[in-house]
Amino acid sequence: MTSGPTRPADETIAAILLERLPLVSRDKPLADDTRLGAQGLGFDSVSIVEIILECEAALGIAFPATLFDDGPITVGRLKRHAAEQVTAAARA
Amino acid sequence: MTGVNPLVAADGRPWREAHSPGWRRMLRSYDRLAVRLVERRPASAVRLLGGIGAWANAAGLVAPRTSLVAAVFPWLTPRQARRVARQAAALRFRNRTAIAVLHARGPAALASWLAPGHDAPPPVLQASKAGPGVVLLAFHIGAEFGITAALHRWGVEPVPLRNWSILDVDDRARALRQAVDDVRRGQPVLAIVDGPGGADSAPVVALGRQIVLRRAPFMLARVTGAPLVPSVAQWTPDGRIRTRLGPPLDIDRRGPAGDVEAQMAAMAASWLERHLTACPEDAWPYTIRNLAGAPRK
Repeated sequence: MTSGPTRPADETIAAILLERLPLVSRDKPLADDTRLGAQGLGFDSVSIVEIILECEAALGIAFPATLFDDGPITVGRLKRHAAEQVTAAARA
Repeated sequence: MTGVNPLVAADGRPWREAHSPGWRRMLRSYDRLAVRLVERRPASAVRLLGGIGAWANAAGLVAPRTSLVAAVFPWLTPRQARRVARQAAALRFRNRTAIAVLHARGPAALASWLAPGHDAPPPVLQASKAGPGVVLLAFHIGAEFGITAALHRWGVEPVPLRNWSILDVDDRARALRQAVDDVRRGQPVLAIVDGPGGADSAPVVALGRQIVLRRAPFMLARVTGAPLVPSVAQWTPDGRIRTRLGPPLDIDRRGPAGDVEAQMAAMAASWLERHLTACPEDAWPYTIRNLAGAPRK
């Protein structure tokens, strides 16, 4: 369970994802290991990038292309990256 | 070649390579032979190879069929349709040679095939140095690979939105995410908009057919504010390549994202239609087949 300064980022990311899902899928919780693309939420590549850019705009942090270097993008990776960036910004 | 028509609304089937192993071996042999043939006298060799393609088409050995050309360009007389079919086949041989040279010798070798007039980059590329990059739109028409050669001549190394059809959605997303940063930094991106795989644009109309284009270049131009620049390269009668970049599409970027992208796709399709109406000989067999297979609108 997240706490402290990362919670708003988690909620923001979840809200952005849920808004793009069909209504019938919105009542299911988004597990951290859920992929955004194939075998997960089923977003196409353009939608994935739009989601990432929307997260950037909402949170004021960058989600670079290197996030994809460790395999398919998951909900958890977005959240962890946001948490790292928000924490780093708070320390600066 | 593709087993799925990329110009119609996606039916969910994955894109796959349709060539048999034997056909691919033959193509690789052709590539090696063609690269050696063009090394000394490229223009003459390109004309010769194109002539072989045209002959093979006339002999019924190589696509496209004249009936397919007539279906896509109904205003052509039978004689004109036969001529366009032969030119499409010639195009196939010439372009295959150009790809082989590009892969074997690099863009500098292909740049030596450019027609006079490529000393300086066009204004649309010079303007991009001061702001966001440009999104160059290319299609499977003409001497498409000549665009890469021309850019190399001008000292411009464009970021390909993706080199080949990448089947993995995350790989495509990575390439697109990187392209956003690159364009914001002033880099040009070269995007083929009528290839297979990936997200579809809104349906648009070209030559009386309902088609879809790749959505990524339009999203890229929308989020970065970069101009969309249609680009084309053509074979000259003497076996050289000339290019034309721009002018940029005149897009009204106000309004919802979906509407802006739909407008972009419609204008790109209109550009394609105008070009192929004026220059049907630039249509690839691939393009003719896909348009012929698209529903009429």
